[in-house]
Amino acid sequence: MLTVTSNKYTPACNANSGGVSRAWIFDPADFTWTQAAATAANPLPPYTAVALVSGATLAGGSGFYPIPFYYLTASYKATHTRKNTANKWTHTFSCMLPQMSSGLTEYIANIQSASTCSSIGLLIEDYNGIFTVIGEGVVNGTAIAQLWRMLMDGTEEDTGKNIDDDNAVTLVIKGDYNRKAVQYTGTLDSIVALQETV
Amino acid sequence: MQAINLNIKEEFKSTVVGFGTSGLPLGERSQDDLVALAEMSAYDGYSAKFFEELPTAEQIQAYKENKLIQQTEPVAEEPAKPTAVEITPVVNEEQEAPEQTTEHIDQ
Repeated sequence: MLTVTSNKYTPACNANSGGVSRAWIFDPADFTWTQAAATAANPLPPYTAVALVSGATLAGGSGFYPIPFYYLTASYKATHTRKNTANKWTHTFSCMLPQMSSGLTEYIANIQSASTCSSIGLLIEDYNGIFTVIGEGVVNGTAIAQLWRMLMDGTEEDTGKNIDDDNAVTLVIKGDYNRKAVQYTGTLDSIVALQETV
Repeated sequence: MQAINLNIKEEFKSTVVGFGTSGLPLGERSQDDLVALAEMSAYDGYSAKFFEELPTAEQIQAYKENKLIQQTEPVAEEPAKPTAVEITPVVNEEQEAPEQTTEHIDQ
């Protein structure tokens, strides 16, 4: 090829399911993700390892925080657009957190603060068991050159009207970036080991 | 085979790095896991410091080759199969045998 090196894609021959099975929120500055060097054939290799950066500790409040969304209400979507040579991916995660309460208000207020002062990292596991990292801040021990900010934007609180309406907050976290999100190859155990402990 | 030193420094034995199928602290990781981590240290920017002595690329390659050989089961030798089947025709003597003639040629 003159200008690009094309590669192949072979879909896995297994059941393909929609939906997000698990999701975690994290401080992008707390974790470093390991990624092999990009090649012409694979310009966006997956992350193969994750560790807390120096100074961040689970005891100190760092870690992956599970998002306690209601079953089958979470989704992640990324939409690509372009202007001439500039690419934009709009990443959107949403999920339903049941029952308005002071606890939920506190939870949402915290995410709002994080969205104002820094940004939010998201790690999701879909129903195919694939992990995807969104809004990370450190790769191979170095802060990524272009800041990727995922922020709460579009969240809605709704009591519903009828007895069988949901009384819930629909949490929406959005962010634009210049590429697709990258997958993480480790298993659930490797994530659980880095879950918050405070 | 070159010996490979995968000892983790004492101060990092309780450090957790998530990768592969486990999130166990480095001091409890298997040899294979530590080889994988040593391999990633070439570009991850932080894990080289975990090892007392970082294995060289040659040592890692030799370890992986040796592992592969160990995992490769020898192919069992099967008894030689006959290349042709010998067919012995069954003759029913009562039916097939030509009738005996009792003709005599008088000379």
